[in-house]
Amino acid sequence: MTAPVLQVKDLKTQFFTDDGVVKAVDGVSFDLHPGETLGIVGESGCGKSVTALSILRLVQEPGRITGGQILFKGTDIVTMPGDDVRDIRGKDIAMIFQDPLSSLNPVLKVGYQIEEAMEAHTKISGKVALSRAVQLLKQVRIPAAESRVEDYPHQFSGGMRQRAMIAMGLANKPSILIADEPTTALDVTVQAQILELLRDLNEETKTAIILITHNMGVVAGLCKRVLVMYAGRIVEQGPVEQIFKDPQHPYTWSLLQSIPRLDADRKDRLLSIEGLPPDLIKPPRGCRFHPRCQFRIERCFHDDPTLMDVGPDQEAACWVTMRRALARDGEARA
Amino acid sequence: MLSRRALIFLGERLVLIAFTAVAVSSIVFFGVHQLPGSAFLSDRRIDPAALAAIMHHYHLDLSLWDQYKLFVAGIVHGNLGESLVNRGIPITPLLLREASVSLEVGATALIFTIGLGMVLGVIAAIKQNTWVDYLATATSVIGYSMPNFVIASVLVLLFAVYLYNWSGGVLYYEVGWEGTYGTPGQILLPAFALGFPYASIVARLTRASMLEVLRQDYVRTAKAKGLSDRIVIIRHALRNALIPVVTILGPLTIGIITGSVVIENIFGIPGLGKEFVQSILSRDYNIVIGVFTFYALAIGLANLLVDLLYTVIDPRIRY
Repeated sequence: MTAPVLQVKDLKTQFFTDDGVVKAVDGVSFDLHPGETLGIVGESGCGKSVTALSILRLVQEPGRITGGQILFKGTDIVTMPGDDVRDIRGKDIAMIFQDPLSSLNPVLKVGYQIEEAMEAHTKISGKVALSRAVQLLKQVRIPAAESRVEDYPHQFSGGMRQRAMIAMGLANKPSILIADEPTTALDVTVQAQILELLRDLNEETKTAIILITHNMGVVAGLCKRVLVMYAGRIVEQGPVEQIFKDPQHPYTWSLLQSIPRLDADRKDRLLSIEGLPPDLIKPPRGCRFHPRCQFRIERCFHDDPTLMDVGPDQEAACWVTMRRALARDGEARA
Repeated sequence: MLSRRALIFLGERLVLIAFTAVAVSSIVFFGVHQLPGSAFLSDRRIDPAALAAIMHHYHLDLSLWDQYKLFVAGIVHGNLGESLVNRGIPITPLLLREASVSLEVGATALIFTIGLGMVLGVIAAIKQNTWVDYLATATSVIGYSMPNFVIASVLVLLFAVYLYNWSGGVLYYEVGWEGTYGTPGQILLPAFALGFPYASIVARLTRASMLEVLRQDYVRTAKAKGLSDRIVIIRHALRNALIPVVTILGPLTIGIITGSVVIENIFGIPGLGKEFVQSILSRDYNIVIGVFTFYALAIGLANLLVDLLYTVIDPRIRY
């Protein structure tokens, strides 16, 4: 196996608010290999977006990275001088955001915003940059790209704006593309197109993709491996097929149960996870999921689990694990 | 370059401005004739026959309605008549010259206002909640709580009186201009007095608007592209932050125009503002009407310019 292009080690990002310190990311570690597609899933506020922003050191005040390492090709982004981080942004690691309308500058032409991404890192003439911008727009399948480069973002549809964002992200042929909820603001058919585009681009350009989403279906459509985050931690990780088939953490299991199914009986109620995500200023003692967990045991109240091997390439941070929980329920029923 | 719709918009606005100017001058025409007193009052006795001849020359012997008809016929041809005090002097060229003097001061004040206001606002926003921010904010509080005539009087006192005494008459600011147009040194003080209160308003607005824009997603996108802080602030943030600032450019220009009435009198500047006061005091009917008409035109055109400026800054706005 090749060396990872990105290694996140025990990352901690905290927000120093008036109410207290919010531990938004609390000891997250993972590796990303060249060309890999990695999904990060979890509810709103679980720290997945902050993890992504931390990688490019884009966390805004009052947030700060307070610990850990982010090694990009061996060098630590956390301790790097600001100018060096700027060199990496957009060139080696590009990022696209959730709402493509608010993420594009309304007063600048779309083509210009793509050209700008190139000019920030390479000396390039305006003419070359323009033709490259057209080429990129074609690559993300925007029709009539030659005339569309002259348009402003408000003249684009939602899906086209996200394509333009992706084109912008690909402008410098980065080794990593971080997509933060790239399909959330789009309607379902457009979502599918964008995911297909990302999948094709991953195959063509061998750009590694980190896809951040709350939607398990989106992960299934694009990623090979998935991290499930809860309350600032990774609670389960492994190959997508494995996690979908045999989730071991009760949180992952509940997330998968809450996906509506067409083949389910209409009388069946849709399962949802009881309660709300915990307050990250004062997270619960023991396992952070225990207040909402229907399979908890006594140990979960005071003992905080770490990631443990639970299957081939699969890790979960749970004292119970679904395998045992379901077996136990089966016995109880019998 | 201009689309058909833009041309129609422009045409409509120009017609509206012309109509406003005629309406304003008509109101002033009837109003000014109600003022007690006359331009021909004098300590010396005037020969009744000569007075009658003058009254006839200025059509003051006709009924007000007939005078009005002659007046409207005049302004349609751009002729505002003659001065009643300095007899025989045609008003239109006189006012044009004075307006250009006022424009010289006003434009300097406007550039100063926008320049200083924006720089202070942007710096305060970037350095939010530091001493730089507090200093800039304190400066603008002083600015907009002091009326321009107070600033002007203090400046005259400092630079024309105290500086003269202190330097033994070597270095000082001379109130009152010799020529028609002032030297850059002479323009600076009145322009500052005229613009400083508005610079403070622009600074406050720019700061608030910048703080808002700096939190926007597209600013984060710009940073994520690896652009330098300078480019992010100037190209991405400032341009968007300017949109609300442009909104107050209209009232601001009007403030500078009306403010010039006071400032020109304090600094002895031979512009439209000084003429405005003098003509009323001396009951020079034609000049009073002329000055008001000029002001109406200036305000109308300033607002039109602001509306056109929107389309330059914000591509989403099209007429």
